[in-house]
Amino acid sequence: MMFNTMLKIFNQKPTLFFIIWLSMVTPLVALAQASDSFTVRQYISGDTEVPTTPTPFSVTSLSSSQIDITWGASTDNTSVSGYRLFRETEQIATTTLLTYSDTGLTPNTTYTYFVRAFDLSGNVSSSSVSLSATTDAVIDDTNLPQSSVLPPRLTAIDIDEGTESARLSFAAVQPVTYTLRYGITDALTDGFVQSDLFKKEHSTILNGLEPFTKYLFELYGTDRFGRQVLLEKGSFTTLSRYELPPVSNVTFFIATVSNLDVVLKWGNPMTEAFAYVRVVRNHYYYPQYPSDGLVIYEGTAESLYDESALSTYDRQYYTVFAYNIDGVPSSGAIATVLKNQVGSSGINQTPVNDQSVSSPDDNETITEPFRLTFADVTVIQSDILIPATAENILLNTTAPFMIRIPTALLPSTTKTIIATWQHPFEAIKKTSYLMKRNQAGTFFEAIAAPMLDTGLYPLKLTVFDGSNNELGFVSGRLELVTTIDSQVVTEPVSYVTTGYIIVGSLIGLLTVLGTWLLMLFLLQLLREKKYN
Amino acid sequence: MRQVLVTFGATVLFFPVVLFSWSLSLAQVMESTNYKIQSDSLNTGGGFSSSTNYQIESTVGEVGTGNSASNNFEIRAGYQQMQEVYLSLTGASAVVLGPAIPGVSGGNATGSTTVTVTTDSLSGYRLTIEAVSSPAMQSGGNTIADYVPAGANPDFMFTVGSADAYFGFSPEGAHIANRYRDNGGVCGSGADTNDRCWDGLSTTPVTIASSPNSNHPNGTATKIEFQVGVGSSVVQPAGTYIATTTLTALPL
Repeated sequence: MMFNTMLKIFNQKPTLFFIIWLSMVTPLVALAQASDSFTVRQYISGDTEVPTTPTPFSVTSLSSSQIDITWGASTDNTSVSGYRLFRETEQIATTTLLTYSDTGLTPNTTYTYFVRAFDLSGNVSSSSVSLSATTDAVIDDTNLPQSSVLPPRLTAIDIDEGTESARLSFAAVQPVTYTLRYGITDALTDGFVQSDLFKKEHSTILNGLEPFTKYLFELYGTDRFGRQVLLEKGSFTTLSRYELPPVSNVTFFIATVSNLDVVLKWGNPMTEAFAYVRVVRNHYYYPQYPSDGLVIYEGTAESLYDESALSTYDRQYYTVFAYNIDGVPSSGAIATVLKNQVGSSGINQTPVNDQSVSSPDDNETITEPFRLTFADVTVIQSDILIPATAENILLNTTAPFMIRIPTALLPSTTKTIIATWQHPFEAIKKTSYLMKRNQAGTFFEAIAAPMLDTGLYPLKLTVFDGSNNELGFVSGRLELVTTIDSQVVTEPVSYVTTGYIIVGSLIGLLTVLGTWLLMLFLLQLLREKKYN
Repeated sequence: MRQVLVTFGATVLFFPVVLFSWSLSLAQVMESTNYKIQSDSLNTGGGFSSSTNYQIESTVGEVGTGNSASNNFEIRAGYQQMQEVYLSLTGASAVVLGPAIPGVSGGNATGSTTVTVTTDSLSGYRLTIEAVSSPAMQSGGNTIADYVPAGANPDFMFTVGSADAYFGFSPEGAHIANRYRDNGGVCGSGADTNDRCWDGLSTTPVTIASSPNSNHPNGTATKIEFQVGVGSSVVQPAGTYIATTTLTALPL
C-alpha cells in the first residue's frame, strides 16, 4: 500500500517524491564531524633589555663521567628568570642556580660549555665565554701512582636530629660519591642512601625514622679513582615528639611565568630548627597539606625552575611547606600562576574570587553573618600577645610572629583562610599564607618569618568555605617597627600550647594508672606470700 | 507502468551514489569502483534488487526511527541507529608560543599542538583548520598578519622580512595534504619534512590532512606547528596576541 502510494507520488509529482525520500534517508547521511577550538598565544614584550652576560665562568672535571660548571649571577632591569646551559651547541639544562653537574659523560673526552641568562620577556644575554674540560681517563687504584692524591676523608660532618627525620651533611677533602647505610641494629637495614654525584659537600635528609630512637650509620665515600673508604661510622638519636614548634613559613614566595615554565622563588626561615622545604603543585587548587598534590621539590634551595609546568594546564597552584627538624610542616605559603601571564601580572595573585582555593566539599552552602572584624585578629610575637587596634597591628622587625583568628568568630562553614600582606615599598614582594586550624580548634593560625623592613604592610585575611565561596574578609595593616612600645603588649603567652597540654595530660594520666597498677601488683604479691 | 518502475528503481538506487559522492558521513559496508554504501534502507518495500554493478538485499525498512531519551532511559530506535560512524578528534590544546618576542628588536617564537583523528569510516576522514578572525593573531586593536606564501603552495621556509611580522602554521604527520609535503626545497608534493611548508591561517577552512581509509582504533596524529616572526625593524606593540583556531575532522 505504502509502496503504491510512493510510486504514485513519484509518477505524478517527482519533486515532492524526492523531498519525501530525502527526508527518509537523511538520518543516514547526517554529518558526524568533530571540531575543536583552541587558542594560540604570543606575548610581545616591551622590555628589550637583555640580562648581563654570566661571568665568571668555570668548568671542572670531577671524574671520568662528570664535569661541574659554575658561573656568576647576571643582572637585569626586571628580573633574571634563569640560565640556559649549553654543551657544544646543545642546550642541556635550564636552571635558576649558579652551578650544574653534567654527568654521564664519556671518559677522556673534551666538552665545551657556555651559559646564557634570560629574563621573563624572553630577552637572552650574550653567551658567556666558552670553556672546555676533559673528563678523566678511567684510572683505578691498581694503576694509581704512589705519590698521587690520598684516599678521601672527611673534613666535617653534621647531623641535625628531628623527631622522625634527620639531616646528615658532610664535607670531604676531595669530590666523592657516597653511600649511607643506617639502622637501629648493627645490620644497618633500616635505610640506604646513595649519591652518584661527585661533590665535596653532600647533604641528605633521612625520613621515616622513629622518635626518640638511636640509629647507627656507616658512611662510605668513593673518589674519582673508584677507591671506596669508610668515611664515618657513628650514631644519632632522634628527638622525642613535640620538642619543637613549627618553623615559620617561607618569606616572599613568588611565582612567575616564563613561557610554559614557572620560576619559583622564596626565602627560607632563618632558624636552626629549619630543616627543608617541600614545594607542592596542584592544578585544581592550593595544596592544603604536604601531600595534597605533586611534590616537585624537597630541599633547602630558595628557588626552583618548574619546567613545562603550564604545558598541560593553564593554571597551577603552588604551596611551599617549611619543615622543622622534627618533620613538622608550616601552614604553607601559596602562589598561583596563569599561562601567558608574564611578569608582574603572574605574581602571587591573591585568590579572592578565585573559585579554586581548596578541594571543594560537597556541603551545602549555609549563609551566616560574617562577624569577624580586624580588631579580632591577634598576633603573638616573642611570646607576647599583641591585639589589633582598629587598623594596625604593631610588630617588631626582628622576630617571627604568629597571626591568628579565633574560630568562634568565624562562620561554621569556614574551611580555609588566606592571609596576604604586601611589602610597603616593593610591589613584587607579596606574601600569602594558608592559615590552619590549631589542634584545639580554637584558632586559625599561620607563622611568619621576621619582616625585616619597617613600614606599613597592608594585610587582608580572606575566609572561604568548603565550596570555595568567599565568606568575607577583614583588612588592616601590619606596622613593623624596630622597637615596640611596651604599652601595647598585654598578655604573655606560651608560643605553642595545645600540643604540650595534651602530651602533659597524657603523661600524667599514664603515670597515675601505672602507679595504681604497680600498687595492685605489690598487694597481690604480698597476699600470695602471706597464704604461702 | 514498467517504465515508471524502472525509472523509480534507478532513481532510488543511484541517488545515494550521487549523494555519497559528496563525501558525506557513512561507514560503508558495500562498495564498487564508483561508490560505497554504509547501510542501505528502502523504507518502503524490500527484497532483492540488482544491476550490473551491485546487488542489494533489502528488508522492509523502518520509519519513526531515531534517538530519544529522558532522565531514565535512552533509545536508539531502528536497527541502523547502531551503525554510526565513529570519529573522534582529540588532543587539541592551547598553544603558547615561545619565547616572548621583544617588540622592538623582534624575533621568532614557535609552538605546536598535536591532534589525533580516529575514524572507522571506510573512506577515511579530512581534517581542516581555520581561524575565527582575520588576521588570526590579535591583541586589542593590534594584529600580526597571517603568513602569505610567495606562491600558490606554502613556503618551504618561514621567511619574514625585517619590516614584516607574520603568524603562520605548518602541519606534520602521515596524512598531511600534498600541499604541505615537499621535495626538499619546494612544497606541493613529496615527503613530510619537519618545520617546512609554512602557510597562513584564514577564516576559510583549509584541509591540512586526509586519508581515504579507516584508521580505527589507533588513529593518526597530526602535529600543527605555529610560528610568529617579527622583523628587526618592526616595532610590534607589546601585548598578548591571541589567535583562536578551529580544527574540524570530517568523515568521508
